[in-house]
Amino acid sequence: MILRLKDIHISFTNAQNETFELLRGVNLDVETGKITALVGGNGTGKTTLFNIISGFEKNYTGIMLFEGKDICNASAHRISLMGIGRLFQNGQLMGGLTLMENMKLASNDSTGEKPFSSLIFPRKWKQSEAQKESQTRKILNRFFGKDNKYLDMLDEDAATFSYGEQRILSLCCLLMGGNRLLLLDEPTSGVNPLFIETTEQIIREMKEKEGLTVLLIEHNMHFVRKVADVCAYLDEGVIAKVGPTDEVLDDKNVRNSYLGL
Amino acid sequence: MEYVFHIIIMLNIYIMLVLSANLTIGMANLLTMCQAAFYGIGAYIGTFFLTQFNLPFVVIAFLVMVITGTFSFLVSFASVRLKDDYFVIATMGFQLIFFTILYNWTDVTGGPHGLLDVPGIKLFGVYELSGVYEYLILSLIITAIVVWLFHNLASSPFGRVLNAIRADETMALAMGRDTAMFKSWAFFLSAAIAGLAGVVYASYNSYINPNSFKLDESIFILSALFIGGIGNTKGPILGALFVVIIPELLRFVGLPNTIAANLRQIIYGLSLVLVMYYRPQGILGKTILK
Amino acid sequence: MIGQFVINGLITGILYSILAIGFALVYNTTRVFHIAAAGIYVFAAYMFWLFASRFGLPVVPASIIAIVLAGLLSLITELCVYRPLKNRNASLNVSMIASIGLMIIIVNLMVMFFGNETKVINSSIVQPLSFGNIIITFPQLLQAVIGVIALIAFVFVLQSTGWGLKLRALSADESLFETLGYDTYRTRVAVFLASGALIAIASCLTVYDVGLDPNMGMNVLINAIVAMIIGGSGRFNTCILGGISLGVLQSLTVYQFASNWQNAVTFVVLLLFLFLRPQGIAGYKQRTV
Repeated sequence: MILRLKDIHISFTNAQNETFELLRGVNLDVETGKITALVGGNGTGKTTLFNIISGFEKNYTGIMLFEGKDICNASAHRISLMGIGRLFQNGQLMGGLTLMENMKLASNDSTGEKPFSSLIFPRKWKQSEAQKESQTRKILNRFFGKDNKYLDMLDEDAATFSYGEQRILSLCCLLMGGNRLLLLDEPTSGVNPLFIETTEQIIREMKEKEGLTVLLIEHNMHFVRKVADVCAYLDEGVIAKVGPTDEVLDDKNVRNSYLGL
Repeated sequence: MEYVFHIIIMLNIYIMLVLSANLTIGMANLLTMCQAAFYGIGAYIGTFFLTQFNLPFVVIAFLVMVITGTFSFLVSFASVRLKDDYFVIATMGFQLIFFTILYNWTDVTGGPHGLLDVPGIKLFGVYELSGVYEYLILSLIITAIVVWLFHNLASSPFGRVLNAIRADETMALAMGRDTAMFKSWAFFLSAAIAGLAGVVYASYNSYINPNSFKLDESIFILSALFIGGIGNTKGPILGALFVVIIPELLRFVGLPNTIAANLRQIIYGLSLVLVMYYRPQGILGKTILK
Repeated sequence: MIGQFVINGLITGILYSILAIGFALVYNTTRVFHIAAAGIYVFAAYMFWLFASRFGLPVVPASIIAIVLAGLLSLITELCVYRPLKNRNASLNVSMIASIGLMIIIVNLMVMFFGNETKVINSSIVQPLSFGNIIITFPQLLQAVIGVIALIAFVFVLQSTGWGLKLRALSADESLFETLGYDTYRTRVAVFLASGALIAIASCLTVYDVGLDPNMGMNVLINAIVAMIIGGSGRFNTCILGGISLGVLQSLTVYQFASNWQNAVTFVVLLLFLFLRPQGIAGYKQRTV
């Protein structure tokens, strides 16, 4: 059990002072080394749950354990350093920075980022920079084939890539090291069919080759069936059903309430 | 010739100021309007040390930089809580409070009359610099170091994180970077360098008063930065060159002083508007203000 | 004694309210941090002086001319700077920097034409009114009466006419405003005209009392912005609340300490608001995404 959520509650107040409870006691155990899909209708709080796990949303109650450690009070960057990586919904690469810089930033290794060490000990960080560069090349080689075009575009502004490309490259960024659990918010949205296959391959390899645990939000049910081992169905603020993917997706109640079948 | 050297010394001081503003504004997209306050803190604290103690310049410069940098925590604290326009207005507030204190705390700051007879810099605690030649050399050396420092910072991993904060702060957080800490460092370094410029200015000019450190001066530094360009080292240097050279050109053309003073301001204002329209990253800049 | 200070503060507060509304009109609808408003304030003051003192016009027509010209200048800033920048998709901070440039240009043009020294308009001395031990001078009376009329007129337009509705709609959501078939650009023209005119009203009322100099704009503008923030930004009527609170607060600072600490107290209060209650006195907390 890499991540354990216990009784997560969150509510919001709108301008008219009406309170709305979005999550009403979410309990979820994410199993180590498996791909878990989190499905549910729009506005049921899937992304909010991700925000809670990665530390961006603090006004909740409940318990969160990551690898047995309580992460309720940890700040967002601490949680990331503990090994939880995240792909944002509509998240893209950081424009104005090159692809290489994006990949380097994705690494948890922050050697040379202290202002004084970056001035006084350039040799020390130049070594780790070189290591990050070779790792970047290795990752790109692995998923896009030998001598792919991205290797020549490493020093170009990330904003020049298409939306789909940026999504898939953001996924590659998560492999730069230090992560053990990945939160992927709709990895296939806005990605063309050809890239969906690559996305699928990347997510599979995250699990099989890198031994990472993946928790993903996805609306594309074909994709969920293909990649996810476990599926959790979020409805009315609670995890209504959890189990092997096919079992959950074929469940009568789930088909009724979510898929409308 | 002395006059030309005087211009070069002022140019050096402005290069430091504009570069220091670039670190926060250009790289981390934190629009501050209080660079002149740090410049002033450096000048007044530097004057205090120069008058009271007989210390070598390196020690005084170090102390001034650390103390001025410490004041920057007021601003970095604000930057964590406040976004966009609210942050801008808060820094403006900081600048105005600082000016009011300088202006009214007569016992310590001399009030509107300022401080007279600021002693010269003592290089190794013995040799007191005097005359425009010696300050020219000193300011050239210090500016060269500062330029080298910022040039290296811009391409270092530290600069990369600042750029990431500019691009997308949430993403930078999600990648495990403590953005609040990086911002504080940026403010600290920026304030420290502005303070260094302040102490050089105070001892060179041997007279300081609050009017050199008011909001108009912050806006002036900002104008230089945005005209020259943000996000790299050459942009700010060009900006400083622009604002220091223009008045001299006007003088050279032979305009009467009364008109020249306003005309140069108008030229700055006009350049600012035109640059924002045609080239928002500035003449030689790299990044665009978000 | 304290009553006198409260009255003085209230009257200054009315002027702050008008200025704050003038600034908020642009800020809320276009989101541009309109620093050039300081230039417009100075411009209006000099036009008033030019027509009243130099050309010898009576005060009323001179001020009306000044108000119209300031409205036009405000419109020019929109047409020549903000609109082209918006069409280029420039960020709001870029517009703000351009606005600073505009402010520098306007103020220095005024200095170039009219000189740097302080000028006065009202040289006649009218017997001040006294109510018990509270004294109100004639210019103060004018400020109070005309100021209140201007505020009431504005609130009426805002609450009861189509223009007011458009204003509120545009400040709520620009893209929705356009989707519903309204022309943002045309509304912006009206916004800038009204903003310039309001700033000019406050400017004329102030300089009639205390005279004018070219460097007063920025200080006044900052007070207006502070009034807007402590009232509660995002809306218009809250500016009045903020303006009057600020005016009274400043006046009491003068009563308690001395006038030279006025700015420091203003900003300490501003910072307290920004940190502890950023939504202002009357604002409500919004859910940020």
